[in-house]
Amino acid sequence: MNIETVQAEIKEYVLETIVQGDSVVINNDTPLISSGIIDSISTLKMVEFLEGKYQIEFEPHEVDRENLDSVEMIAAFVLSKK
Amino acid sequence: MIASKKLLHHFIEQIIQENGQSIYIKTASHSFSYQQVFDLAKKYQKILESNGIQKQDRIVIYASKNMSSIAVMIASSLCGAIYVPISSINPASRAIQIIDEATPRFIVCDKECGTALQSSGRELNIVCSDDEMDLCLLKPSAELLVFDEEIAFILFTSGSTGTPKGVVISHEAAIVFIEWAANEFGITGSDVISSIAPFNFDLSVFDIYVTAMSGATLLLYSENETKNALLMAMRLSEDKASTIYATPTFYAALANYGKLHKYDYACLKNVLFAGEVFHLENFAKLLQYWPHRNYANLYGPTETNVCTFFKVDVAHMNYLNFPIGLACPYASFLLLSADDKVIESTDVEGELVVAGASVFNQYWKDEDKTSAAFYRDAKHQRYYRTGDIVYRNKEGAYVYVARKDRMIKKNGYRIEPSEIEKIVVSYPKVSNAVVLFSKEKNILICFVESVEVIDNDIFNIRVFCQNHLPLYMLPDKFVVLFSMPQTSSGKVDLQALKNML
Repeated sequence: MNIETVQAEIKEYVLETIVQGDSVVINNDTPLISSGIIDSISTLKMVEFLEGKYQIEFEPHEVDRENLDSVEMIAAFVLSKK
Repeated sequence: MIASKKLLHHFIEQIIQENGQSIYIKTASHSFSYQQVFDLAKKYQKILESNGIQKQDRIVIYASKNMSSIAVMIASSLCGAIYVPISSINPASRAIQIIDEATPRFIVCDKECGTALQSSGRELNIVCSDDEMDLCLLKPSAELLVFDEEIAFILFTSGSTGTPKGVVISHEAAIVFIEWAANEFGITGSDVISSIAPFNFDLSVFDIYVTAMSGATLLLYSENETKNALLMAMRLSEDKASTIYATPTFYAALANYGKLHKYDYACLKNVLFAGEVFHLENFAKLLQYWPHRNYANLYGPTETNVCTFFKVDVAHMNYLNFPIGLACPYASFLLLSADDKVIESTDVEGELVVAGASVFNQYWKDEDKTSAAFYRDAKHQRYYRTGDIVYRNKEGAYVYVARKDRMIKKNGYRIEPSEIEKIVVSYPKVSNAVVLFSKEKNILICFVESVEVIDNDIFNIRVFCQNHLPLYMLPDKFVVLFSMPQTSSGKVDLQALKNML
């Protein structure tokens, strides 16, 4: 699995499921959680999506902005769990 | 007449006489006994007094939820002062708004919040500093305030004029609720009570003081921890929580995302909720994991604290929605029609107005708002106008229908759209702004009127809001309009905007 593909998939998920056509621009390094673009419920939904799609499991303490604050951080974290 | 002279810190003193070594507060890494917390409170009291604190001076607490904050609250009570909690989820600019309103003698803040205040240009005169908190002395405010009651704290909540308003609560009002709740839910020294809500939210009054009154243990969860349902599901199990009081949003996140099936909740007895409507599909999910618990819907705005309660009969789940229930013993109600006539019959909708010992004293330094908030009956009894439209069903229980005004409840947070609008309008190119809430999508939509704003500005307006509002008030969506639709009388046509949702 290469990182660009994972980043693109995650970006697509964030744009289509969470942002839903709002005029927010999402780049790979756009802060998502600390900027409020993704709220706590959406974060949990995204974790559920990531667990299903990439067959990984998050430890409770890993659901944190330290790991998930941007598309590139999420992708790197997902790959580190594979 | 025998006046109740009980103050909040008396609960702690009582427990210390019985068993000071029992654990009052547990965090992720530490446990603190009643004696330890009280010793710290006494230390703070000394510092406050040697720096000239007077009765009814305000002490602002701007910090993440920690044990020291609770020690400051007890110290405040010991000094006869009034504490004003501000959650760390507020950006410094909103904290400063509240600080300027509250005119405190002291600000107590943790390192992060202190840094945020300093970056916003506030100089902090630190008179005492420990691992967690800095105590900062401000110039004494000239105003002398006289209350006919002992005031315990002021909870600032979103205000309809666009700035936060302070709900002034007396010791007596807090205590009548605490004593009722501890008794009603059978709380004892062996209980372990979670602290989920931030301290500026009235749910925390239950957590902090029902625990203290009963000699129970408080599980102190930080703002970050409570947002993470996966973590909370684990912690509530490991920490052996016996009583939880939180918003339906919190429980829905637990049931939907917490993986509750992985853990054991054998100690859990009471599952209490308040702040918004609990949607039954979410409740049903929770019930699958947690059958046979005491579930209760508690109702009441910050101004009255809990004034009705409804115990859910889980064996007979044939509700359309949970009623808000019956009056607490200290509360009395009237139901008013649109022209302030008292409604006697059942099944007729009207505004719920509340009198009784738990009702707030006044809005902080706002006589106009205070007098507008109360209805007076023929005997001059004051009733607080909740703004909630309810009816009384055949069983005598009250059922919530809707809001009378524009106030929004999103994820259990109370939001006045005008507070958001005021911020958005202060952004340069914006001429008007209207915030609406879509219940179906659970999102805040901000209509921005501007002839100049382009997509890139929307991004900046978002950041601007983020710097002035807590994240839960941040609009989820912005829609730019050249001009707001208007009614024939020239007002913004809210209905037309609603049709655009």
